[in-house]
Amino acid sequence: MSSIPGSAAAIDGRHPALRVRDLEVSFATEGGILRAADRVSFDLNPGRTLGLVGESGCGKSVTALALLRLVPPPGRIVGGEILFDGVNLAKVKENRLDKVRGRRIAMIFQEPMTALNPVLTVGDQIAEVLRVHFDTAKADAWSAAVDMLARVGIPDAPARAKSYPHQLSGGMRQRAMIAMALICRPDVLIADEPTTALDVTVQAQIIDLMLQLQQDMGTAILFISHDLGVISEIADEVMVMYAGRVIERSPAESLFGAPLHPYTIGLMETLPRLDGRPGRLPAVPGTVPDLRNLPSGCRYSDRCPLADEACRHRDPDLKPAGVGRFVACLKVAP
Amino acid sequence: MSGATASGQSGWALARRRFRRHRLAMASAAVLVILAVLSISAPLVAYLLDLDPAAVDLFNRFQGPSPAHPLGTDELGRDVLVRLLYGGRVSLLVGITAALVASVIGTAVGLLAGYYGGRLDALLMRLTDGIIALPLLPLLIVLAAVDLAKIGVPAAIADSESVSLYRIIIIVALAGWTTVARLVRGAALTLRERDFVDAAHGMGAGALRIMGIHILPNLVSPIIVATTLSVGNIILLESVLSFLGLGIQPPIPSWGNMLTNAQELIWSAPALAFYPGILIFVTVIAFNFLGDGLQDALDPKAMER
Repeated sequence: MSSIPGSAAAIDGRHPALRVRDLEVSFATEGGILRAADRVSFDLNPGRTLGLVGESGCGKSVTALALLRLVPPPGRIVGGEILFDGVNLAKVKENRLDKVRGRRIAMIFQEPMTALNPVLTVGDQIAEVLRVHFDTAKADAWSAAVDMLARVGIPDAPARAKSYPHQLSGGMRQRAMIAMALICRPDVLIADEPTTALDVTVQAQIIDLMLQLQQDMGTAILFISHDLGVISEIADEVMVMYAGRVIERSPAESLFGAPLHPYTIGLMETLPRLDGRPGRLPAVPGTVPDLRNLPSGCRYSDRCPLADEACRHRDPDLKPAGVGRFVACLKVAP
Repeated sequence: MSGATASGQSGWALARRRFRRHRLAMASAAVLVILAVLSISAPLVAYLLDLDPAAVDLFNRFQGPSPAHPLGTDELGRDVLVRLLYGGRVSLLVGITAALVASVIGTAVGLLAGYYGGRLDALLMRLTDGIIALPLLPLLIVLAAVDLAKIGVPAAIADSESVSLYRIIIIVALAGWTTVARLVRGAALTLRERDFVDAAHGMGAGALRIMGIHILPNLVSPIIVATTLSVGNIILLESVLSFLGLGIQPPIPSWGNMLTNAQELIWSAPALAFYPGILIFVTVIAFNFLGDGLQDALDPKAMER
């Protein structure tokens, strides 16, 4: 196992809430085996947020779903460990996993409109999570749900709890989704593009809310987004994925100060800047390669401005490159 | 669905409003309520008119309508009105109970097949196909002819008067669950792919909770519609079986066996066939209109119109 040294939180002496080591998820498709997540390793630490960025199809969502073993078939976890509370979630029995899902590790989905049940009131849905895990009486679960809705900033929570999802605005729905995820005070929160479906002002509100709840509860957050701007606002540490592999991992300040991997640099340049010249928005040239038919050597070599012969023959491993930083690039960390 | 019209109202309130606009369904509901109330109060009507549904009066056979017998008397001199009301009790009871039992079985089978998919789905759906392919009427005739005492049913039950009632409810329910099973299975197949089912799974809900709490409430409308529509069919089926002498056994009156009695007298006393016939007709039509109205009112696509 290519072990990755512990990251930021090992420094302040706390144990990570969740350790992922060499996670591999593959899909058996008609066109061959598709490796959606390849040797992915990271730690999630209490009270800290790990941002996961990458283009569509780079394996971020699959990685997130794999943590709770929710990868839809034909996808499956073929290797690696997901260590939580001394147990490997990749191997544990389904009924034990059900005691972790929602209670110790919870998830927020991208589109709250479809992730909420259209025919149940939001109050019922939040109360239901409590009732799945604890023997809470119906009335108690309901009042806990109402309290949680108030806590996520929904005005007039006792009345709003009786609303159906379609009666709430997008921002309110996402707040309800957050209330649902946090009602059992989980140790780990996985947020898969939680702000992507929202407009920008609501995005900022939701991020503030998540940060504030994280402070109160000490939750470890894995925050997935394709939007570097959003990541920069919430993450303490950032992981960049490309074609199923982590190609750079770094504390947020140093990553945004000086990205190392050519792909990360490319991504940063795509961010529109206020001080930039007007004109065409820059883009990373080329597209993500077909995961069933990867280029030999470095996966980014066919799009990379720095690539040479060596890059096309050797697939680089994630190597240390500075304080708490890791990069998988022969040019940066040979 | 457009937020402006939907906001502030639950789907049920909207459905209620749409249903009220459906005149035929409203009228059908009214007719059925009246029929049900009259049938339920049959003993009261009999008491008020001082008539006994079983009282034979051979001196007053085939009487026309009169103050003493509002709809006349039958071939044994029994009061037709009171017997029709008692028959309505049986027909409605059989229709509604059997439809409910069939829906419960069908929902359970459909949910299991649709949610789990794979082999269980294949097994349950082949069973369903098998039952659909069986020629229903001959099968029901055979089942209705089974001597319960010989298959181990206690004599007290097997010989009781109302056994034909339970027997027909069970037989019809056992044959009738397939429609709901297919409906629910199809809907469950698509529902289980929805994000909220994944979300529920991710929140730690087990299979039974997901089926019962997350999928089933989404199926309430189609199940209500299918159940309502099937009540009419079952009443018809009960009439057919009773007409053939295999359903409700005299002296318990049902609309079906009243028709049987009337068939020999169709020339001499056509009214005796007319009354139960028209009641079956009206009830079945009313349940169908009611089902259609509910369908229009509950159909989520109707919200967009």
